[in-house]
Amino acid sequence: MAGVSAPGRAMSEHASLDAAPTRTAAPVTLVIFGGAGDLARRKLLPALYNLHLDGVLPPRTAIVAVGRASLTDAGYRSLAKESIAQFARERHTGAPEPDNDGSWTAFAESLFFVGGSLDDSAAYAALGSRLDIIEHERGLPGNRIYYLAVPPSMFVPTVEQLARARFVGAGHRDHSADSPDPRHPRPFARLIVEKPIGRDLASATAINDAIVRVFDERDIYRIDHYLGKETVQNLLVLRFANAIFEPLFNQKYVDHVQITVAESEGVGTRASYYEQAGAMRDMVQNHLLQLLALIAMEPPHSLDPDVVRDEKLEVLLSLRPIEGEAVDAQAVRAQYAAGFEFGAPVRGYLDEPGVAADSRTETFVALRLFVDNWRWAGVPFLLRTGKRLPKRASEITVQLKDVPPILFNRDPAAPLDANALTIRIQPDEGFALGISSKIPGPRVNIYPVKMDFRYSSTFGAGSPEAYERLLLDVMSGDPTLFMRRDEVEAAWRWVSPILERWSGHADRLPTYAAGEWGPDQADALLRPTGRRWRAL
Amino acid sequence: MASVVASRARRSSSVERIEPDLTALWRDVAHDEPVSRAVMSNLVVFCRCPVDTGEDVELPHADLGVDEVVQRHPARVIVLGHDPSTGARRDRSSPVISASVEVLTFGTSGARYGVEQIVIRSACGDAAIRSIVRQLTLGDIPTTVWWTEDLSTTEPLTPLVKMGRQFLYDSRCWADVRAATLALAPLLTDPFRPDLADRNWRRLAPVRRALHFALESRDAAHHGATTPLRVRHRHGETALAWLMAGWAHVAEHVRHVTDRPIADVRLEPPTEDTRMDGDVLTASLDDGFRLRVTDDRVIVEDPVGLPPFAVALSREPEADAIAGELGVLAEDATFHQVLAALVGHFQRG
Repeated sequence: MAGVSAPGRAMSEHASLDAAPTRTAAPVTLVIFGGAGDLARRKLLPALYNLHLDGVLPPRTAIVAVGRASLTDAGYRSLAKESIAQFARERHTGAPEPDNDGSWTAFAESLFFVGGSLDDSAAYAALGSRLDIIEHERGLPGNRIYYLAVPPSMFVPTVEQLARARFVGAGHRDHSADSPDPRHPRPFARLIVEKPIGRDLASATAINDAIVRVFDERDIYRIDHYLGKETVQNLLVLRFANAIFEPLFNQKYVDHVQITVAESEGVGTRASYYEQAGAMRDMVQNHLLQLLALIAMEPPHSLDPDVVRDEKLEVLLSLRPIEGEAVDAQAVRAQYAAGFEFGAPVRGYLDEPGVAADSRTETFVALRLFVDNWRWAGVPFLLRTGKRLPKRASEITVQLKDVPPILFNRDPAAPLDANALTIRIQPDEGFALGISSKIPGPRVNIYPVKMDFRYSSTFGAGSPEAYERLLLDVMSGDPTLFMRRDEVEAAWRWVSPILERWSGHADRLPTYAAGEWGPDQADALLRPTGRRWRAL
Repeated sequence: MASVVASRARRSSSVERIEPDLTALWRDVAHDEPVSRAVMSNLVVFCRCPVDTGEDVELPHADLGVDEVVQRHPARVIVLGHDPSTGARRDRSSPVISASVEVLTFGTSGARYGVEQIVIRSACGDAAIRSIVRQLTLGDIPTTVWWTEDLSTTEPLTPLVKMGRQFLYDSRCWADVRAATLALAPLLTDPFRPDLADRNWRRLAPVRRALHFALESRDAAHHGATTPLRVRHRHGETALAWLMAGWAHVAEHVRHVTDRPIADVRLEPPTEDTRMDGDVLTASLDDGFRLRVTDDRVIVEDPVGLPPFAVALSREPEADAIAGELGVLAEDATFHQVLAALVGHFQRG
């Protein structure tokens, strides 16, 4: 397989995390399969519009949506306008309406819709003809990005249809002759795949095999939108651009690391997908393990995309397997039962529309795991994620060890809070350092205080949405923030024994009331160690 | 009393808009001059508010001096108006009757700091109240639940109280000490209980110090002959007297010297005395020892010990006292023992 772990391209081209990045995106045609679907309406169209308003979308870009709906270009533009007004981030909300500067008109003119079924080869023929016309009319060089905003079951058929219809040719795959003449570079064909990629190692491998038969690994962008969040990108900066933290990030000083990705919403309208996935596949295998890799990785020797991803892969390969009976001791799963959200009653998972009455799909996972390398030997990493938790909040906390029980930490009735660095990923992005301080006054009364950095307070306007950054990266050819095949498969390899153990249990799952921080078993997971889940 | 608040920005809000509205308020108040956002803890102020009163009814937090408290101990204040045990109001589609947000600023120009306050009136049942508070508290900082009601008439909502690291109340407002103390019993036996803090217990601190000093200085021979401390109090100080009696029961230097376990030793109940001549409380032994607590001092007379002495009682402003309690996160082991002793006494009838 070409390019998976080979050294990446020159840093100057792709140093997206570098202090002085060069981000040049060539004119491109973005083809969104599932272009009228939920993901496109909620995330992709608002993100593209924001990029357009910010003036960073490549000139003459065409956005061609493909889907089953019977829509004209005008109909699709109306749908897009409505979606953008509803879902765009605050500073651009409502921007389509006044249109004083013609920005919406210009954006709308770049939107097109092609109807058809994705498993029908005739639809691809029609799409090809339409793309040729659009690219000719807009003077586009034929650079294309194919975005699979479709259910995972459609990944392989769609890619195979693309190959059959000759959307991707040998010229696209041949990176050995990249840019022989910088004035006339070869057009590229890139593929964006949404997670989840597979539902286990075997299916993930099958999807990856099918995709790499058509696209070169270097042209495949596996999106985990968490990696596009500003705070996640800032993780490497925080760790490696500051002298204060990195010397402490090891087993000598760190007591444990907690990673929480909490959602307050229930399964909503996604039951058909979620019933097949569950929290382990939907969240842990990708988002949580990616966050873990970023917080635990060794310093890369450069910011070259593959160097960074090599280091992340090393962490995933260092995870101590949780197998057999260890699963029962180190992993907890549960389902939400009826409870409350901001005082209002909400139904339990089993009562959600589309959920089987005897469903054993987990909506909550808690894990106690270890990274078996020199840096992190013996340091527990405590991960939890779930739906219908008290609030939507994602954060990573690195808790340092207690100071010795002398001087100010002598009294067992009044233990000092250990220092903790908390990185808030959402909402209210930023980080906080918990320290102990004397309260002003004649007595030595020590109180835990926070040194708090908030993006919104320091930098003002809200951070770009993750998809804005990620789409721009694909256009620029920068894969740093995307999952490489070996990362995806390493993550599946690690979670598979847990899923297998769980699939062998016929018991009902433990439950937790909606609005609570998970089941009692999650607390019990930590209790023997004397640690507790942090309040968010 | 003149307001300590330099400026106050307020707006009505809704469940979904609380955080964005606060963000907007912070932007507004910082428009003319920089304001530091100060926060040491979450302070959940519980007020009983009948569910069927009008939507525009004011919660009593202003009368409680919350502004003065957070000037001294900056906190994210969540004032919760709730009517325990009445169940959800079925005629309402929303579990929240009203919500508003405020940013209060303090300090002088150039050194201005602000705190945020959320006022919520709930119409939901007791079981749901925790889900409201959880949405509003900030992580990573301690949470105190300040119960402003009489625990003998408004029992603590255990799930709410257990969310806090500290549970603060004032036993001076208790109409029925027995009922209120027994309402605390489940918290005392809970391994994950919050630290309990009683504003009234704080009043007793200088009294306890004086008594401790006096009795520890007594001749060892007399110490062995100590009889139970008898506590008398004026009307309205029943809770304080019970705390004193409870402490006398558990404190080594005060209780009757015996080899029996403390649980077997009878706690001497205090008695109300209408002829106290201005004293708040007295404590005496059969051998002539007498401690008097007036409004401004503690006076100790001991015919067999130290010469008479007096200790001044400082008049601690209410806000200082509450802020002082908020600033102490350690469990007061003696106080918990006292409460346990009182619970044991009342449970035995």
